[in-house]
Amino acid sequence: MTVAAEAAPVRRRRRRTPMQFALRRALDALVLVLAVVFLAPIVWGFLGSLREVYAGLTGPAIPSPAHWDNYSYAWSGEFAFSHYLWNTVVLTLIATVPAVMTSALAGYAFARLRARGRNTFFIFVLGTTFIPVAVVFIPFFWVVVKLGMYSTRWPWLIWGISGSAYLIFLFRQFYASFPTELDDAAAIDGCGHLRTFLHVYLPNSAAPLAVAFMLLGTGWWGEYIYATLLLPDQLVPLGVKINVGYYDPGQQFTLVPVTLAASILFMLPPILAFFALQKKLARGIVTTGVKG
Amino acid sequence: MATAETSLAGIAAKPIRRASFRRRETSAFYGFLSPWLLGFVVLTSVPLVLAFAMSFSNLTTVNLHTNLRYVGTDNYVRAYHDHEMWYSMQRTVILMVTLVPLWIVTQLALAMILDAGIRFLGLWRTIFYLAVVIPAVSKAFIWKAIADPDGGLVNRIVRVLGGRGDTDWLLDHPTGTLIALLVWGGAGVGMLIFLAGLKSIPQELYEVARIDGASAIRRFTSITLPLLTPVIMFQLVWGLVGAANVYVEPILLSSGLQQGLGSSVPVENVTFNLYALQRIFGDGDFGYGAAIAWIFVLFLLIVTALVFWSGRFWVFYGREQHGR
Amino acid sequence: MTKPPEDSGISRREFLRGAAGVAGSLAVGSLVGPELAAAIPRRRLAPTKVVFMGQELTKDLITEFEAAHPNISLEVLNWDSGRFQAMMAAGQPPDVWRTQAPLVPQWASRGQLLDLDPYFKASDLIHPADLTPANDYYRYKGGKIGVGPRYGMVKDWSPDETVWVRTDLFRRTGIDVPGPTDRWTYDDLWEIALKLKKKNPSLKWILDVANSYTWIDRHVMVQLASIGKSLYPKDFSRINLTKNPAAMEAFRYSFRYAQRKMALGPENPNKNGWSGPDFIAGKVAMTQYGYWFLGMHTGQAKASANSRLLTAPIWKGGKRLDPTITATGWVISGKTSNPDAAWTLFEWYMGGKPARDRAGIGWGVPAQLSLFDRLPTQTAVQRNAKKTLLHELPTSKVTLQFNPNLIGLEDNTAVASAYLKYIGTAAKGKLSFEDFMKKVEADTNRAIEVGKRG
Repeated sequence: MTVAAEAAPVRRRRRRTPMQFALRRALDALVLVLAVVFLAPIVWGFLGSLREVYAGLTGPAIPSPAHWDNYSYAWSGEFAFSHYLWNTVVLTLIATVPAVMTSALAGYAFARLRARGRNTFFIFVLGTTFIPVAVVFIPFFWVVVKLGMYSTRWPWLIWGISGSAYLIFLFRQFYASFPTELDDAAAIDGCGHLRTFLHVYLPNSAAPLAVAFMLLGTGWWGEYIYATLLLPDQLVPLGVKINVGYYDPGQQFTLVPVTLAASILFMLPPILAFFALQKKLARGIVTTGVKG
Repeated sequence: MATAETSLAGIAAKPIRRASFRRRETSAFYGFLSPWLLGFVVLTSVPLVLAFAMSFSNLTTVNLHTNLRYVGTDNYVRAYHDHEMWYSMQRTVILMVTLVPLWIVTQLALAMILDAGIRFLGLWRTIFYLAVVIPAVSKAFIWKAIADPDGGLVNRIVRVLGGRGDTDWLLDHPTGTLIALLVWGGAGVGMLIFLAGLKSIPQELYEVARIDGASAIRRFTSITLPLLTPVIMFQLVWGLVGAANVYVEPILLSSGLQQGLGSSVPVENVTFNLYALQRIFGDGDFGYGAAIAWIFVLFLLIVTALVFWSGRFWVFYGREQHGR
Repeated sequence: MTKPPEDSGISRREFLRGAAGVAGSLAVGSLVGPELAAAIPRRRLAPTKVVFMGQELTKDLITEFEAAHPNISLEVLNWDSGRFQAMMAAGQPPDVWRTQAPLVPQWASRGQLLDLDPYFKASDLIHPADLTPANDYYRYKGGKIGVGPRYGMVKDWSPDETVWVRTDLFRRTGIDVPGPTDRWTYDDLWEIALKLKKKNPSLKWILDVANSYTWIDRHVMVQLASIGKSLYPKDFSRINLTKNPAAMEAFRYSFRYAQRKMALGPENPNKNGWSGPDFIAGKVAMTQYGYWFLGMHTGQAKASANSRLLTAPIWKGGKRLDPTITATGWVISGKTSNPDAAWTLFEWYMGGKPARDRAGIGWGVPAQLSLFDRLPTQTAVQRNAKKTLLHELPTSKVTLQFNPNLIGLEDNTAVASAYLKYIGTAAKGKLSFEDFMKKVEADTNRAIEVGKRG
């Protein structure tokens, strides 16, 4: 466990009393129990996805034999899974990539550039997060309709370009703690602000970038309501299709195991991304820090 | 450790001032901010004003070009008499006052366990965080599989323990089931943030306390909690906003033929946000929906203002004097 | 894959898709016969897409349609009222959607539906003279239902107020079962219900009133219409309830079942949310569902042997009239960019092979008189249901005027929503019947005000 070794806090070694030793064991037991509680839903969902297709969730706890064909049915049985997977990828990318970039840029500006109105705007940035979805979505819907963007992917790009208040806050915190010597060096080299950001700050932002991609990307990957309200069937992401559920050919019964198999397939990409980024992710949240 | 420490104090760090930079700083600042500003105008300012205007109109899905007109404060008067709206506000408040403490306690507890020098830290951290990255639709189906009256995990456990195990959790305890889902799915991010906060507390303080003979509980209440209050404040505000904005999960947890905003969500789980969206996209009543959405804005504004105001009594900002 | 078990619990909403599903699965294997040639459009249409929102188009039906109409591609959306409203608001509603009779006036009166008269006139598959009177619920003109152009057509209908009874429960408690065409009144129904409750105290549900109250206003409207009264004034500007003794009496009649814990609803719920599966299982004595519920008996030997459809009871002092209140069907959007293609789908589903297949399975009465000889008559319960249906048929004629100011998308209108909201409290005695009705009246009038503004 290199990760554990790397992230474990450095503490002074102290001789342990039997009492402390018992406490250690209790702590180990507690963390194990909690891990089981946190993992159980996912494992249960996975077990459910292997059940006999009409069995629902009944039968022995561990299905035997395991019906792996539920996965092939989920992939091709009800709709073209790959088509909607692609839709999900496209929507997630156009909403996430620009958002991370513009948020980093804005976070840098808030942290490093002095300008009149900076603090006022920062309050506005934080303020937008308190505005409920319903209030802005209703009129935004009309704006989308008026601009002819209904049933297109344009709204996702707009959401992307305008960034995310949470991420702006995150990047601001991160860049505020950046050693200022870098700025000086860049200034001596005659870099402008944009070049300083692109050549000095951005390359050193792997951790917060990972956090930003993960937080925003998983959110958009699973986004559901905007897609149902704004997109035609051929553009909707997977979540919308899976939520309808899988039915038998006579459309009488929900095929629970197949629906669960599709849910598992649907959550694999973000989970894999999380595993790939998790080292940076943990460090990113640690180093960006929080202060109320 | 040093990085974390500087970052928490880092807000105070001031940008350097150099003559060659300052001239271009203002224009660069607004240039860098312009994408967000564009979004702020298109996605927030204009919609907010439009929503306000809409709330005084009779706008529905079908009358934009035929019969749109000003109706005064009709929508607000109607909202005042709307029991269902008040009930949905009550349910939202219940979600806020149960979810936020549950979140903070779970997140802090997980963070403290991870901070206690436990083995395989990375593994446990991954497990506790995993639910955060699962998309809402998948989470909801998994939760339905757990809460199922016949073959669900919970009822199976109850039966093993000798209970009857025939509760239909989604139907009989919709809010409890929803809260369990949200605690499970929302603990991870806060856990990491608390972990960062814990790591920024100087170890020397604990050493001194130990030498003074302070008990573990005493060390927690006198050192850990006070020094974490800024983080707790942050989590409290985000938690309240998050809890107030819950509306997707109730929809996804409801069962039946209808999808989306038309699905038959049990009344206990119709949150204020969802109620507004239902009026708009369920009934097609944009004017009324906008009015109650604005009432919700005011409500959230008051709540967050109160929380921030209360901070002066309990948030501990004296970190610097304890610094190394 | 094994077959699904017969006793699987089906939710009420899943059930509402029932008719289509069964028709779809029966159609598998016997498709693409020579009859399909009739459904192929006569003139070539530009390749075009038709968007349908509803549950009845199964995958098999979609394949079948697209095979027969290569110029048209179908996009089928699951029913989602949020999505529907968004599409409506954006000016891009589905081309065709499924609805019920009480919802038609709100759209017809606001010019949202396509006048189908020219299409009906030109059609080879559907002849207006062949249409059953229930189809007139899709006609609307100048604030009146049943006259003017046709905006749609029922996919199936039913004399909904006819009553299904469990004869085994009757016999066990020594109560005579009325004959399938016997004339009986709501007072008789009440007497029978009381007797059933008394002699069988363990029976939890005696009568399902108006589909667990979701159709309570339509139910009362039929009772009032039979004595020449109405819930609404001529201009539909409000609901007349607390100052309308006839309406109060009709509502009080239904409320008595709730008070005695004899009905099915929020005050005395079951797991499925509708009485279908429990009736089939012999746990509900009577349910006022109508002919379509015959479909639920398919493959249920015990229920089929112990179930009987009775005529609609007559309200006291009233005359016999058409007991149709749902008339589920399709409409075409007035904004469709491909009216011809939309009609092709409509005509195929309503007048082609799917319609003929549907007629034979008992989930509702066909829209065309010419399809009546396809009604199923293999089992005793099917023959009984047909007999009752034919007994009711002569009364068939539009009798209800639904309020165009009550806008909404769900099966239950504002009246039923309000009724369902307060019935639990009222049935427990925490709210007097008069106050209960005052609340229903106030809620409905608010909904009407909103409808009038829009």
